[in-house]
Amino acid sequence: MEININNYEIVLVDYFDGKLNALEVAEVLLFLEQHPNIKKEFEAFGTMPESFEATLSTDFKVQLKKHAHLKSFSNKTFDELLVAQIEGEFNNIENAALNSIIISNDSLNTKKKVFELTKLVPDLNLTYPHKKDLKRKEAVIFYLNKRFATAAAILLISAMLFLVYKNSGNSFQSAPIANNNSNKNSNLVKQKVGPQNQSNINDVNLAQSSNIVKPENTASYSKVNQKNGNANQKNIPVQLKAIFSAENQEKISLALVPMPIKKIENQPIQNELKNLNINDEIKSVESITSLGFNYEDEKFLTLGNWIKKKFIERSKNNLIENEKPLLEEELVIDPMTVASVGAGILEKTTGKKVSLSRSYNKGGSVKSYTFAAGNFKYERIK
Amino acid sequence: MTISEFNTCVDLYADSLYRFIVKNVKDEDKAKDIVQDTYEKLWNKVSDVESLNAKSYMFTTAYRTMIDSIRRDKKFSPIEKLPEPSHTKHAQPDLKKTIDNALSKLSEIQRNVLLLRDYEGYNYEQIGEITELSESQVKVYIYRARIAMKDYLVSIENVI
Repeated sequence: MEININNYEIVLVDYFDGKLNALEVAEVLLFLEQHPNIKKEFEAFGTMPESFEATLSTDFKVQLKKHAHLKSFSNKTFDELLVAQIEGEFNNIENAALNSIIISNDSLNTKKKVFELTKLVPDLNLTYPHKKDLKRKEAVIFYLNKRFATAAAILLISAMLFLVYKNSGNSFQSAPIANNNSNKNSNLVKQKVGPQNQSNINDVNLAQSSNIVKPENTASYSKVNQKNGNANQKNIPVQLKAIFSAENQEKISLALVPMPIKKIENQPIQNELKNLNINDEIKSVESITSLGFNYEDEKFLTLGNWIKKKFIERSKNNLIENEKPLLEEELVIDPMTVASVGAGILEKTTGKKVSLSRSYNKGGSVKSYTFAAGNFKYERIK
Repeated sequence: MTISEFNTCVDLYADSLYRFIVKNVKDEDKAKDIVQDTYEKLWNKVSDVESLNAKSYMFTTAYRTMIDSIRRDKKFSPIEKLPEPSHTKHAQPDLKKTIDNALSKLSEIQRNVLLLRDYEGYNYEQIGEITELSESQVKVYIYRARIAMKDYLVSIENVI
């Protein structure tokens, strides 16, 4: 459709009758913008349909008015319209109106084609060649249902219990009694010992294997011994810590090894020094001897039994000449006897010379006690 | 973002990132390095970046990495120094090559906004976020880029 001065009235009638399509309506609007006098007539005749005006953007109306006043489109101003069209700023009706103008002008038509070339199109053949290297591997996650999880937990607990039980058995079998006697005897001992003693044996082995004696930290050592139910070392003064040098650790541990024999007697270790009873000790020695142990062989004695043995020996040796020996149940253990036994323990465990002496004043009473071990010397004045 | 989503991002955006970078740096190896760096940076932030924002994040990162790389290497030549496209009156120039040449005539920022606009379809606001420009600036740069390309194309005989 071409609107001109000669036919515009017909077109306007068609416009108000609603017979024009969107493109024709756009042409009418453009024509009116270019002919203000006719526009006044048009406005007097009727109003622009609201539905159509609503489809036009403000930007387009501004552009349309601007170009209409110019009567003819300059290159510069039309570039703006074409770029705006390429950029998709116009709606379909606006595009149609613009295109209707362009079609009628070869120069504008060519220009529009050139502008369309500025719309870049990606080359889809150009691809990144190493996508695989960019990707990350996903971790494989196993989701267990409740049954599997329960079964796994039971298996795990069973395995742990088995290991614990197995270790207990090994410790028991590796105890000195079992190693130094026939299978028959060791079985007897096992039966006699029972579960309670079995655990005590483990304590000893733990003490042996973990090197509980720290040369520079006697307090810690004592703590471990208490934890293991071993009160033997409680009587060692803290000041003696220097004696427990690194080179003696092994000896100290070995000294603890024969402990299981003591456990056979079911005597609580904590009470072994408090409730010392020689008769019981002799009985226990006899009972052990009956099982095939050589009680006299000190290497098979526990530290506790060894101490008791020394008590008995030294108490007897302390008797005054021609004095009637006391009955064993009447033996009195004085502090010096205890101390001398303690010194003997240190000699036994450390392999160093340990001396214990006392000095007297003129009145004959004890003036002081002196304890010496290696470079260490301790004197207590009474 | 999960590992699976990350790998999906590789499938979806690696090519477009690569094309965007190649058109700018004109060096395929350098473009590959920049794409790789971009995904490395995305992986480092994989727990922070939502998959919906991944494309925007990657283009922003790639753009900045590319600008840094260009400035560091100083290999980027200003458009004024680029050689004119070679063509004769007797030979019909390859249209694609001519458009590429026209693109290379643009300034760095004009080329970037135009590529983001036409290759990826980003709107002015999104391009502004990537290039750290205002919406109006983006619009002006795009307008100027198209006018510059049009002027280059109409100056060549028999292009259309």
